[in-house]
Amino acid sequence: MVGVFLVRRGFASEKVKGGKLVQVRVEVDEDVVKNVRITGDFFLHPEEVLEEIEESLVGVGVFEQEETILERLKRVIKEREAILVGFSAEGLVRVFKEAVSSCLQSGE
Amino acid sequence: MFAKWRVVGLEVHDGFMNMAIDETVSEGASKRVSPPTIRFYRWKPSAVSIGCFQSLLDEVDVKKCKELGIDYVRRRTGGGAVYHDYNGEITYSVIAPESFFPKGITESYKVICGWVIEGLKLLGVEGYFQPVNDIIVEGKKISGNAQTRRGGVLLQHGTILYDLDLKTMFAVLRVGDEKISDKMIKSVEERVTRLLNHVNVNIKDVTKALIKAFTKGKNYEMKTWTKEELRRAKELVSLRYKTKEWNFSR
Repeated sequence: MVGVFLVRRGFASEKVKGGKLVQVRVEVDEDVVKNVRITGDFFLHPEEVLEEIEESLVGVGVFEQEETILERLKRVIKEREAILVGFSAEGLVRVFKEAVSSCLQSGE
Repeated sequence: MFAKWRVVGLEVHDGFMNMAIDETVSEGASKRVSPPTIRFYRWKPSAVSIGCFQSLLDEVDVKKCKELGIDYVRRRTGGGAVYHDYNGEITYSVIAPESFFPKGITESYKVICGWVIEGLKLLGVEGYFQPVNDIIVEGKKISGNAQTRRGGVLLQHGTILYDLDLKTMFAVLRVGDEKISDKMIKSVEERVTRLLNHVNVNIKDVTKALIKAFTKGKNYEMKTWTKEELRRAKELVSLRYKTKEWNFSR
């Protein structure tokens, strides 16, 4: 029988205490993240970097280590001299991982 | 280099035009054709603005907005969703070269929020700055502020709450699945305040105090937009702020 792979969608969010809300939506196909959407009431300068951050998370495998993902993210932030306000790269990776896990659990 | 600040007194525009003027002047300041500018304005019709990273559909009840004749627009600045009630607030923008302000984000918020706090003080209201971007009076938020930097220009805009229409605010902002209850309204009233809770003033007096505070120690003139700025702002309304592509981009 030919396996049918369905795109699975995941979501997670975190409100940093005294900080901002970060929400991550992902689409996972065959254990690889195909789409990432980050939303929330945080600040990021320059604003366009968010799209590059999302882009940098596309292609991440669902079992990839947090440290490796964090490295990817930090590279983009450093290259673009981006400033995060009200959230951190570590926090973002945590929410991202949670979003990915959530669609593994949903199983469909 | 412009020697003088331009101050544009209290105007009324719709939300699209308000955001387009901010962008136009930022562009202009970057090209050195617009002077450093301080402006005060209201929103008519009342409108919701959302932060540039927010999901419109997560934050705003679009159907309800249409029903009530309330506009919605995505800002170029980060931060949260704000309901701008025509009778309930005054908004300001400060647009000037980044070099006018401290480099640090919080430090620069502190400088401009300091002008707002000074304005409140002139009205007899004691406020203080709470990082990242809030101004607090008696433990409650009275002003939210947001900043962006682009092309060497800093834009900060923010609101000063004058009155509160919580029913409308809850109707148009998505605040979770709970029904709008007295409890929710009470919880917001515990966190947010408005000028009228502290002092009996009208919008005109508030604007006067804010202008006085914002211009303190500055060389400035009261002026308005150039024809070219207005042309560009209208262009940006149709190219960006009124488009689905922009407003629904997240």
